[in-house]
Amino acid sequence: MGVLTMGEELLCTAVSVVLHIFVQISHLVDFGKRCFTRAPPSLDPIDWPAMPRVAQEKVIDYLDIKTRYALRRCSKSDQALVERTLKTIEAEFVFLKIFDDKIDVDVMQKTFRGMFYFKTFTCPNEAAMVLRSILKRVLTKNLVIECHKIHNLRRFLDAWAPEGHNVKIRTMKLTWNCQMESARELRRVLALVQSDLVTEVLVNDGFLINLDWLMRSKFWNLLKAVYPHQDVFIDIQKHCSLKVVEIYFVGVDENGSCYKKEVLRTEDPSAFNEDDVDSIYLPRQTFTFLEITETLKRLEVGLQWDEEEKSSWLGQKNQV
Amino acid sequence: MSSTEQGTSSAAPAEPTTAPESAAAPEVPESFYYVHGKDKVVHKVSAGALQHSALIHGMISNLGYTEEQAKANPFPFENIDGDILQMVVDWCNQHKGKPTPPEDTNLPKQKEKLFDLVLAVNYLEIKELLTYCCKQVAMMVKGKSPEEIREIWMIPTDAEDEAAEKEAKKRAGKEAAGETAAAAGDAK
Repeated sequence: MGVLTMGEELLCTAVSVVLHIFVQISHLVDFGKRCFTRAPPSLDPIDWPAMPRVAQEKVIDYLDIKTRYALRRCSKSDQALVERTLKTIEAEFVFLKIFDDKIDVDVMQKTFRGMFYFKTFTCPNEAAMVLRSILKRVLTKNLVIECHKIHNLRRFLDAWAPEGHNVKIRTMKLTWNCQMESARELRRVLALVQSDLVTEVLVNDGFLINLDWLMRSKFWNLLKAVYPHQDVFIDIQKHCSLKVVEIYFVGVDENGSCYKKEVLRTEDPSAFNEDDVDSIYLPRQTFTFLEITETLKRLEVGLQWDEEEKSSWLGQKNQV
Repeated sequence: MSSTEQGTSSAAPAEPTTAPESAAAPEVPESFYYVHGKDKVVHKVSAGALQHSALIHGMISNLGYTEEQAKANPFPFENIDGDILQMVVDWCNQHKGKPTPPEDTNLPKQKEKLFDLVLAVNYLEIKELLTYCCKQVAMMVKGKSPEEIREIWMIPTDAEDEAAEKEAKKRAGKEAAGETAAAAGDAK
């Protein structure tokens, strides 16, 4: 009996220990749940769908773009509501940085003081969808695109503006920070920009070939005729604030290395207001339209002119 | 609020006492009006304070009440809770005759009443207070994810919305069928 009692006591002790451990574990689990699950909002909920439309619109006016986009995803009616308000807002900057494994989108709004990080996307399609929506509606003062690898840029552009997609970019300035040969890609983006809005295209360190959108002028047509496209890279920097266009002609030697062939720094009459031309301070290496003709005559040596093109240009020049 | 004279009885308007506002402007005796909400508690508000509300201001100018008439006929706002109306009246008194600063810290801090306050302010057409309330509502969701916004603002998902609509349609259909059956029974 005594042995049995002792066994029972041991059993009881063991059971109580096990129970105690279970209780402790359950406490720990509860604590963990409390720590790792999202705390409920401290405020009582607002019945947003029951709110008067005037108040809803006023509330949205006080939301930054990021929160508006979050609200847009809540329901169809909110999507419509937010989209209507997006047209009235302006973004100082939209920064698009394309990396190997991610795409960063940053937006800066004047009313909300300071730039805020919008989102990092790992999927180009998702980033493209959001960016399409923002740039179509929000008037952006400066869209900055930065990328250092051509295949990343192409992959993103394929997602952003696929064939037949009606993409529009409402930006006043485009800054192209793609330090590589990306003329075709820039042209693709420029084709999306709403042309009546854009006042400045700043291209930094890009080798641009045949950028006819940027230089849609008689002068540019002439340059195209003078420089065979396959032999030369053309780097253009267009500063509307200075009313100056800098064109770097860069050739490739036998070893495949680049050398600067020619630099033209000029105003492009068709790109700026004609009234402003005379008042611009033109540094040493600046040519007027007439002087450029002289320069080009010099460059004519050794170049094969297409007679038709030449006579056409000369005809246009005489008209000018 | 000390500047708000609040009636204690539900039937009769409160006896007007000497208001501090009238002491501040002794040249022109200030006229007072009376409003009551759902709880029938009457609040005495000066005409200057009521100018914030486009609705009440319009009512006053259209009715041309004398003080006695105003006392006898308090403006009824049956759709506004008493405590919400109290908040609004307090705010109007605090901002009487001065423009509202962009960052207004004098608003009551009871945010749980914010939704009712927005409804009341929108109804009473108090533009400045509505702006401030909307700012507060916006601050509740700033930087939040769609899921969090749904939770805070009680936004149903489209699927939930559709289900609710279907249910409502079903209910309406059943009710209509019941009514036609009852009408047929009556006709027999």
